[in-house]
Amino acid sequence: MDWSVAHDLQIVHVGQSGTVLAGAGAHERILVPLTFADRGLVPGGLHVGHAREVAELRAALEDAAHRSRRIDLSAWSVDVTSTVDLRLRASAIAADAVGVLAAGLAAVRPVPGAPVMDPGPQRRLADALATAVVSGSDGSPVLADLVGAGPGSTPAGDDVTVGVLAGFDVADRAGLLDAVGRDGLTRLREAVLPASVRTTWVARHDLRAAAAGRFCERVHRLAEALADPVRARHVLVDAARWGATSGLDLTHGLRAAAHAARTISPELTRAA
Amino acid sequence: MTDQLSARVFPKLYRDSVTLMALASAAQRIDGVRQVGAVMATPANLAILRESDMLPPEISPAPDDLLVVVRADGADAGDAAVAVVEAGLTSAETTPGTVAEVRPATVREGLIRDEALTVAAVSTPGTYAPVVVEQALRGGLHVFCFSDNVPVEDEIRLKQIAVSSRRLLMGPDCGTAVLDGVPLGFANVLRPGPVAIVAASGTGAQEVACLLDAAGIGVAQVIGVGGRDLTAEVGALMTNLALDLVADDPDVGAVVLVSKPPAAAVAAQVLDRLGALGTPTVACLLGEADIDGPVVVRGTLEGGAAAVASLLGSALDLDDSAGADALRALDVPAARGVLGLYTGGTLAGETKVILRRAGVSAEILDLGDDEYTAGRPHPMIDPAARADRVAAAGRRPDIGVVLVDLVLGHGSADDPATPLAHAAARALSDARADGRRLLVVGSVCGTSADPQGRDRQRRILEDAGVLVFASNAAAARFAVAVVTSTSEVQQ
Repeated sequence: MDWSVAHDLQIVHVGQSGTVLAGAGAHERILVPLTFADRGLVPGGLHVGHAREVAELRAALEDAAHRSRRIDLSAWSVDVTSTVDLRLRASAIAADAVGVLAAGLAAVRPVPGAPVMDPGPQRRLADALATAVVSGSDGSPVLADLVGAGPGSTPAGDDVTVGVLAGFDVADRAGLLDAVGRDGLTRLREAVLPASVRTTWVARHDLRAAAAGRFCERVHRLAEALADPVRARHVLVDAARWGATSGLDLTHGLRAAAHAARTISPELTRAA
Repeated sequence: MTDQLSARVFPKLYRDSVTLMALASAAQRIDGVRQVGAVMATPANLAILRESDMLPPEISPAPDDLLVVVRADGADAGDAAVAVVEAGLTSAETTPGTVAEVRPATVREGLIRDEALTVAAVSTPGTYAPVVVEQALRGGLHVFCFSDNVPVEDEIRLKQIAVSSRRLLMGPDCGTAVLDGVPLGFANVLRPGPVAIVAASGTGAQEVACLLDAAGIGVAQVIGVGGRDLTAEVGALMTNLALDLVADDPDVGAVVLVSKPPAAAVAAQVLDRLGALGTPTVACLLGEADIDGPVVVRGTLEGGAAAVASLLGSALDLDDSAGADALRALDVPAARGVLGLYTGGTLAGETKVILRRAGVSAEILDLGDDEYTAGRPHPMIDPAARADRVAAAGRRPDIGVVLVDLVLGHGSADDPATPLAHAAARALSDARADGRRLLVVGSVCGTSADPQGRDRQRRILEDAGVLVFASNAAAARFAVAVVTSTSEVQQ
């Protein structure tokens, strides 16, 4: 990033994964998620790992939140040479783990209130998007109903989409996608980029990172649970506490992709 | 009434989704408000609002704007709802620091935040509780598990994990604990002292501790173990560990175990364990016969507390003279029916024991039981449902005595006496108008240091005509006396 603007960053969001700062770069506005050890890493974000620095930074952020919402980080020395690869490494999907996720998600009560506050419609589209991908489609018609749709600062439909991308990412590494499915995944990743202009700035950041194969650490934990029913049970608990609906929205997408990938798996088809 | 939309756009404003959901929910509870949306104004969300007839035509927000829309039965309600959301958004903006946002969302995050943590309190729905409890135990924490509906197989497995690491798993379905003076769940403010209470019943432990407190005897620890710990299945896994821990505590001079009757094999094992502790011990096992052996066994809470006091060279302060006076003043015989309306399950149980021993049949309800609390708070938190039943008892000609409890302390309602007093006054008035004698009789389980103030709560009840006794057992004994004297009069 262009650190010449670091003296004039503005807090735009304090969320579950980190604190999002924004500033003006040479050509466009830039967005900088700041994350800490207890929140996990976020694609494109700066991770503050030392406890003392976390305390100082949180104090500065809190002060800024009360006053002008602007923060001067120009005195900070940032080691941008130390980067973390946030591509998923999970490479296994077990049917019983997917079953645990499905059963847990089915038990979640509907969110009451106005239709626009209900993530149910976006969650129900997860299977449609996953089915489109394994059929070789980019899922554009479904994507149009998902991106930017639903409650939350990262709308539920965006979280579902990120979950679908993560699920297929794992499925591809697990060898569960045939050529048609891999083509569908590539096309979905391409389709997400132009579609992301229809959502919020923060959600756009997540969608574009997911399309590039990079996911925040919490999604890594979700993805790893696809291999193990016991871990699946554990991540459902964490997911239910991740924002109002985000964790469960992501899990819906992840489950749908894993289910669709297993359904078309050449290996499974042979076994059947 | 006109169905009307109110809306406000907050340009480029992000708020945590939990905040938005909570504000929308709060606004929707305003009278006349039908639906509230608080979402980012993306094209897809505007389309959803349009399809549900919730998009005002005059606005054109951008995707990064926060849009609040309210459908209400008129402009006033709609504007009030928008104002509630706006106030909440502003409050979130100016609330000191980011405390709410950085609060640990998981056990793991909490442990990262502060390695000095020692106890996790778990109150998730029962389905999720085993996972959270296991995370906490494996993180080296003691666990207070308020959650109920946890399968017994999970309880056994988790308690085995806890025992292997010498960590307490208090619960599941644990109502009370006081560890080094720190209250967890429903807990009274107790003076510090030499008594350790290990309890498989919440209000049982509270009653024993409060009776001791009133006698000037303090408490070192109250360790709840969950209502199933002394069953044959669980085998007193946590009771045994808790007894080991309190036996090693140099501040503990006496130990009391409080429980409903345990499984026979478990009872024998636990009594052996108590006898070998090397500390004066009392087993307060509800309904069991009183035994003065190496381990003193008492079948009531009051009996258990009195035995502990005696071991420490003291005595409980139980003055039943008010009961005798009331009995003498019973000019009109009361009906023979006794109705118990309890918020504390063990207090209800103690009353059953005393009435059964006296041969008095009665209708004793534990209104904190799942049967009565589905979809509503526990009656110690929300006294309204119990109060309704007390008021209704005044219209029942078969009822001569209504027995009640009033449990104070952290976790209980701010002023539980007032609704109960209003209901009792109503019941007494209705009975009087019908030419009947009704007695509302009870006790206050609390201490003078409790947030509600035991004496103040007691006065509120007495002013309404409730006969208040020093213990639950004393109130039950009075009910027996009333029924017995009424029978004699009728003969």
